Amino acid sequence: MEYVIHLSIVSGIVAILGMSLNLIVGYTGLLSVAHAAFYGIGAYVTAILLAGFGVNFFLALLLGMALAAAVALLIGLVLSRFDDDYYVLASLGLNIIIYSVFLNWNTLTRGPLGIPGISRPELGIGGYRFGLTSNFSFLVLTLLCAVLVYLAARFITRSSFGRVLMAIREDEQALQVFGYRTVYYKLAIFVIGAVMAAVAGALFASYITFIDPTSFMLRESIFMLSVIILGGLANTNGAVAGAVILVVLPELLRFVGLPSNIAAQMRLLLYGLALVLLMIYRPQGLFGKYRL
Amino acid sequence: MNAKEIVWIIIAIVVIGGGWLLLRDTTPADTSPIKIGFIGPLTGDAASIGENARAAVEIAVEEVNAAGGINGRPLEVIYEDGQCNGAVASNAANKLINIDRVPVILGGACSGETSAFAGAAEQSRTVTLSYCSSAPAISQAGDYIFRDYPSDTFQGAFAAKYMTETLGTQNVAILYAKSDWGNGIKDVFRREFEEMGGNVVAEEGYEQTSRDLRSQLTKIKAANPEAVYFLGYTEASIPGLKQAKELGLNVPLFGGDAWDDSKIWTDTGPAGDEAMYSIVYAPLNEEFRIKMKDRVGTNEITICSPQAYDGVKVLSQVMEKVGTDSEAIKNELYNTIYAGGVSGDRIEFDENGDLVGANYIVKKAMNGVAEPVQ
Repeated sequence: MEYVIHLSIVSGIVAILGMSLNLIVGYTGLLSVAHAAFYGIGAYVTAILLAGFGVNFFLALLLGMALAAAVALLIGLVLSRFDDDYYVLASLGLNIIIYSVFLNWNTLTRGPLGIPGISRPELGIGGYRFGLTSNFSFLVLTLLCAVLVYLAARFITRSSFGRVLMAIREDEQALQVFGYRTVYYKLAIFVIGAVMAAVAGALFASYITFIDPTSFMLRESIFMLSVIILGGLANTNGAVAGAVILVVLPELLRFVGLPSNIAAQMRLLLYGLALVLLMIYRPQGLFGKYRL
Repeated sequence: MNAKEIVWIIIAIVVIGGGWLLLRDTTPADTSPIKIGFIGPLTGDAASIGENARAAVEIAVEEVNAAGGINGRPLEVIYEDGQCNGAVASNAANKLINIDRVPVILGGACSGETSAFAGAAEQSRTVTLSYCSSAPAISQAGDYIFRDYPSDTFQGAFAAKYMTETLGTQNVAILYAKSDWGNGIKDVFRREFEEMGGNVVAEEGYEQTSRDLRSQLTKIKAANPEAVYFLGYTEASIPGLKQAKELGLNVPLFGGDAWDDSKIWTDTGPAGDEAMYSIVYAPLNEEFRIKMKDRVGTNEITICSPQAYDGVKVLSQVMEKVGTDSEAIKNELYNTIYAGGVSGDRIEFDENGDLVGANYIVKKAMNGVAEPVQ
């Protein structure tokens, strides 16, 4: 049961990442591979404030979201100068820059040593304090965050703002002809996505209680991208489904009962095979409405 | 003797006898296997360490079982892949703790793995014995977290002492890989070396994936050190050692335990001559060497395999004595002394669960082979 709770928490965190990236990639058509950077910013702000200064989790979460928004605004301004393939490369470079900051700013992030001893969230109402130390209470918090992000994503995509985003994806120039300043729309959704990713980062740091820069490498951005491509681009349900599948599938493969001397290697092999097969037979993803 | 006394004696016999009958272990001998978990990088960048350690664990388990198991119960190990990645290791540990309900996890290997699941292990009271994690912060990870691999604190302090006292150098430069291992040792070394009156004239770090260290080496050469403390892994150290020679950096190069890889010295050849490094003294008996060779096919015994092998032996000894309750195992580990291992003459844990008193030796490379220095 605890194991199921653990996997649900991890799936919830990945689902938040998927839903937020889907707004940027799926709905707006901006192929960003810088998402792990904002995930990392959320995680590091929370970790530093919790482990170093004993700040309340929810305050740290808000500060993490604020910093992610500020950084996303700067990065978004740079990225808005690029299109298509160049956009991918520029976002790749920016992810590496943020990763390098985590790795090299030793006095703040402890560099490669990582930050241990991050505490779990604590709710304080008056003199009464309640710590979310059990995994079940943490699951409730994670699901609450995931539901809020889900509702926000749904609200955005069904609003007139969301329709402009989809129009940008289909034909940006046509939209500009109608007088839309598409740059602002792209910047806005990029910042919103980054803020949501920071929520996931804060949850991750507080749940695992230890972070180091390797969790926020380019590899993680690619993983998030595969979550939404598998689940289906431009579909919030798809992002959730993709997250659950990509978290649970490798875990299920632990129980296949492969001989122990090749189990670990076979597990990765089967995982890769499952993804390839899915892409062959369902290239638009499980719930996909749009293909890259 | 009156009747009253006889009644009392009978009561006493019944109480004592009955109590003995009730309290002694009446369950028949349990012969189901004792399962323990193993976490290490079986795939990914550090797979060579994880696979080699698994071979060592398999040998140890076979030996324990051939000798009758643990109180008649065979030992069984469930191997899970941690990929040297915190998030993956955390999933693996959660599976071992909550599904397999193992009392003990042997692992992880990388410090990032162990740090990531230490919280979950501590919360679920699962004993963790890492055979490879050397990051100093793990000392504070919790009561249930142990390691039979020495903390980097020891190695940094040893190197500082050796370089001041034995090599007699006062001005040294540090070249290190930016990793938990490189940064951890570097920090301790710098503190200890400066405390002993030494002077660090340059400190240059490089990304682990980097293969060109010329710019760092050039800066170091310009600072004119008497020796360089070079903390690198195999892949970067081979070009690094060659580049140091090319740039004419002709001062003693002193490395860390990651240099105990024969590949470095065969590949660098003469460029590696005179390079020295510190390594935990491991007695490695002949029997262990032969069994490892049978299993992995080469002479390779990577850095943590002796510790992984001894880890199984220590845990078997403890479980033989106190059973499989994790709290009992934890308490007993703090009092355990294990002698005659292949990773050290004596394994003992301090109040942080750290290995007590690591012994280091220095090896020097010459003609493509590293040999211990007397």
